[in-house]
Amino acid sequence: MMGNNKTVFKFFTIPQYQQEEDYLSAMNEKGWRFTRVTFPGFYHFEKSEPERFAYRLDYNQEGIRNKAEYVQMFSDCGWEYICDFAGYSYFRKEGVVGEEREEIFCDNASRLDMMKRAYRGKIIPVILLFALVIISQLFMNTLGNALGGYSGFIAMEILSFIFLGLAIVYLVFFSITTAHYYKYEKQISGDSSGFRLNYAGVFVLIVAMIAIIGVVFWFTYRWSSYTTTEIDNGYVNGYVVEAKMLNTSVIKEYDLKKGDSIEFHIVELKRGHLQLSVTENGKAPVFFCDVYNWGYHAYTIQNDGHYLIEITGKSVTGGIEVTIE
Amino acid sequence: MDAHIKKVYVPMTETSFYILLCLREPNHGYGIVQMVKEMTEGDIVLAPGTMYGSLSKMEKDGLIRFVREEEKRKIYSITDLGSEVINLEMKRIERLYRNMKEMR
Repeated sequence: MMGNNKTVFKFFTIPQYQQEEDYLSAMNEKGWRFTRVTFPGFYHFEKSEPERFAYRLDYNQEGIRNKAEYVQMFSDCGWEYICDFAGYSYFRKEGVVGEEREEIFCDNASRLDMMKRAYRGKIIPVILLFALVIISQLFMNTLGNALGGYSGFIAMEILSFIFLGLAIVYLVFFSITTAHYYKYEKQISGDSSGFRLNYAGVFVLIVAMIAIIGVVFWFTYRWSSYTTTEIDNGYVNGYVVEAKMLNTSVIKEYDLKKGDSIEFHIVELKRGHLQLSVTENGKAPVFFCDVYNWGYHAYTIQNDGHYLIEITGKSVTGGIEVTIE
Repeated sequence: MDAHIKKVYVPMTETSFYILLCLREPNHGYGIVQMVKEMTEGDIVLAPGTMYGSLSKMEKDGLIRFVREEEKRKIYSITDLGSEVINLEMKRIERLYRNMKEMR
């Protein structure tokens, strides 16, 4: 048994509004009357007699802001207002069989203006999402630390990846839309050389954003700049790592005896996080820790042998002193 | 008249022309639709999406101004700039018409 309501998920890009209109009319002819559409694209229908209705979409934010007056204009012209969704307003009018397709736009200039309004409305979220990705990347460490050390750091990282994912998904839809729009504009105005520049501009903007994100990621995850200085004053030896940006491992090898003590002083840790480990050649690490703050860590050697002391940084700015006594 | 106005409105669409022509007397959108329908013996029926978009665009561009609201219908009237633009357009159409007559 079929119910009296039906919900269908559909995706239409901006210039595909005509397909959307035809789809709603076709549903109505099959006995499903369109009631509303909800995020992100669920079309709701209720059971009705098969009816012949023309459906039309307009994109006019100003109209939505001045709803009463806007709807009045349409109803004066015989169009019934149904709902708004994502900046679009849906209208319908009872159609007469065999008559010409009745439009809510009577010239191409105003139809194109409508598409431009819709297109502009959809660019803003792209820019916003990219800005969020960039901001969360740039301030990941400082914000992460402010949010409370390790968990804050991870939270920021996850957040920035979510933003990046969203931005990419949106970008894909946006590109499809742009391609459709471009085709449509060409079809309407024939010569569209003036608009081609606009598209070029939009794409340059998007590519520039991707490039900025790439650079930020690269700086955050790949690039390293640090110095190591040996300490040897007779009874203590070791080294100091001073990093502007450490995204790699600093490994030093020592022959150590039982009872030797390795001390790590995190002299300064402005940002990022560190992993410290001591490994006897070819074996599992005997000492390992994650460090998110300034502090002091030590390990006393249990067996004579050849050891690797490893400092691995991720976006680290700071200084680490390693001494062996 | 600045370059933007000239670029957008000279020459203008038939819709824009009729809107400016009708708004020499204050009127609302649907009033214009009816007037134009009458003037053209039903050949030109201005559509609501076009009307709403054009009226707000022309208001923003300063060609028409909002006068008052009556029963949820905004009443507009032409401005000096609007008159200047339609006069230019009328001269262009008059010349077009004259040339057409001569060549026929």
